Amino acid sequence: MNEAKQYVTYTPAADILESGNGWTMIMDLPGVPDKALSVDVENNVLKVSGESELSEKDMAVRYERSFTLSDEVDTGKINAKLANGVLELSLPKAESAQPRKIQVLSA
Amino acid sequence: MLALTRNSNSLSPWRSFADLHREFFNAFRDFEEHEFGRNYPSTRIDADEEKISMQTCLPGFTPEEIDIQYMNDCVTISAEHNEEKDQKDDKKVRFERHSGSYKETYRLGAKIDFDKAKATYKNGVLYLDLPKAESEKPRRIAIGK
Repeated sequence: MNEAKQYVTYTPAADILESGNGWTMIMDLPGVPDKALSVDVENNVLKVSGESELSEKDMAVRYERSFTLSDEVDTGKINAKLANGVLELSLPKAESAQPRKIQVLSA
Repeated sequence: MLALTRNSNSLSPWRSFADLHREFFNAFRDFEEHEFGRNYPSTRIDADEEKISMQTCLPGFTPEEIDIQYMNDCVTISAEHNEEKDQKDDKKVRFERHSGSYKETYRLGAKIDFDKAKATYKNGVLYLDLPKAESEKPRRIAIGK
């Protein structure tokens, strides 16, 4: 007998905003509690997955989406916040990718 | 063309504007083609003899922003953001989420006891528990001896 859990998987919609020091990624994950969310970065691939408390046609609902990050993202400093079914990820720019001001020296 | 861009990238320390543009979008390269429209389950309505249960995904709202009304066997759910989140001068790189208001009316097909109705909002999902009115519940007729 096959007892494996059946899933219906959704690709969550995402907004991405850029500011001077990084990006904010916002994703809708309705029905996902904190403990069922996972955000992983491996080999510059950001993977968000979450199992929802909802079910559809007797199958459990889950969300999954992956993005390839450029070297501009400081993957060690990614922060995640989940509230009201919305995930907000902050992805700071790596030091080397931040604009630097070059001082003009007078001759 | 891609090879050419790559070449110019590795050969020259000066990146062209086009390269920058490309990198800007590549910073968040999508893994698979993104399908619009169905990003989370649609409203689910279940009914049994006693009650009607509803589940509606309303991510990103607060309970105060959600309004539920019942009239003529219909339930209307509306949600509106009280204040626009100021995004300052953040640049939108990708914009897929539905961020406006929400309003939907559902015909229940049975009268409910609205005073006993319960609404819960949890993890971005609105759960409605609507007990049927007594008049809607089936009554059994006993067979006389």
